Amino acid sequence: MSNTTPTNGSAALAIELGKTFQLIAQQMGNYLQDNIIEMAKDPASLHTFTDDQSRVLSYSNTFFSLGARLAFQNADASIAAVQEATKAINANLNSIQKTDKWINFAGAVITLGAAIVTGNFGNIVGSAEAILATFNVKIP
Amino acid sequence: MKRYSLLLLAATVVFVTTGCVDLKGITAFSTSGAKTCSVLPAYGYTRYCFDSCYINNRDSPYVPGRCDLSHAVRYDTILHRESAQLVAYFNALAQLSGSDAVIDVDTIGGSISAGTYGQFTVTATDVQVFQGLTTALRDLLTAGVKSKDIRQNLQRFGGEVAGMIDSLILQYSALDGLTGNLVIGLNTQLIVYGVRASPGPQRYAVLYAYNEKIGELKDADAQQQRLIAQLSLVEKGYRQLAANAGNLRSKTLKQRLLALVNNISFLSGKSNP
Repeated sequence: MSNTTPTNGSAALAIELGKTFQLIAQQMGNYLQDNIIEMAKDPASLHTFTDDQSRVLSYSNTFFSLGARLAFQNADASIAAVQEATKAINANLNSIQKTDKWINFAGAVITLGAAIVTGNFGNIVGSAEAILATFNVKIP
Repeated sequence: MKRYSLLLLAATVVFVTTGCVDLKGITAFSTSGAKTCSVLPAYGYTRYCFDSCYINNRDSPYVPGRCDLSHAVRYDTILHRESAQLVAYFNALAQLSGSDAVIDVDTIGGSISAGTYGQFTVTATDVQVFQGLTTALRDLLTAGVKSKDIRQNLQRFGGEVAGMIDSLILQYSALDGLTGNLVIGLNTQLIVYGVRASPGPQRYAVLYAYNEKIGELKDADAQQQRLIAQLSLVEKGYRQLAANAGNLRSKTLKQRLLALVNNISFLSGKSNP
């Protein structure tokens, strides 16, 4: 193979992030479907929940659309924090079984999405830690 | 003289059997690669843009013609060009490796430009990969000696061609992700509407419409995922081919390529050609 292969590294990472955010939104949808009768009794909470899911989806769309434009391409610490958070999300997402916990968790995920899109490295690590704390996991 | 003729006959038999038969794996794989790359998802970026414009702005008043699809149309055109160039490359590879079938090798045409197309981006890397593929294709089309030219082409341009397949996979993965997100969003709207609306004909009609659209998007999603899986197999096979450029007549390579051709055919729902 030639040694001049251009890389699609940041685009691939963005697709992975898009998929992780999609998985969260999908799980929120599953939770909503299973608990809609109960959740409908508290319209304010239901509204917050669906609004949060919509924002998680919106970040997922952003990652799918803007792949190669990710600002944190070379920030190793940020990438490592995001990868740890992603791993924890994939392993523990099923453990969230209450509406208020979902809302808190979605808040941390939305903060992470905003930090990644704006390239705010400090917030990336901080919000990744907040996500890990949800699952009682620490950054190694 | 008789001994010389026998030797010549034996050499001819050896050449015919090893010279053609051993490249069959490459021919079959290249033909399969061309077929796979020629499939374009019916639900592309243009249709996605049209749907998302309405689905993601459900609270806005309806304005006919509000959705500007021109960027998505241009982005789809770029994907079509990339696919067509890969089809031409694999067709040329199939011809060079001895395909009996009459294969149309498209002329080299079109180019892509880096830039932002609405919410989608074509990077300098994408352009570089595309140009590399074009050079690889030109090289193949001017080649004349079977295995030697294939080997040289794979060694010189293998990285660029594999990079183009990889890039196409990423672009379709992004489209697949976006389509999947529409399904999730619509499902939530369906659930919330279902619990809030009073039973009756209007509720039934709305729920029916939601389900129809969700079904349509799920079908599109399934087609995209099948195409991504097939392209991944093509990429895997091509990387194996490029890695074995120095030993194209290897039996192991042939077996691996033919196995991949079978798997690609299986995913397309058609029997092995």
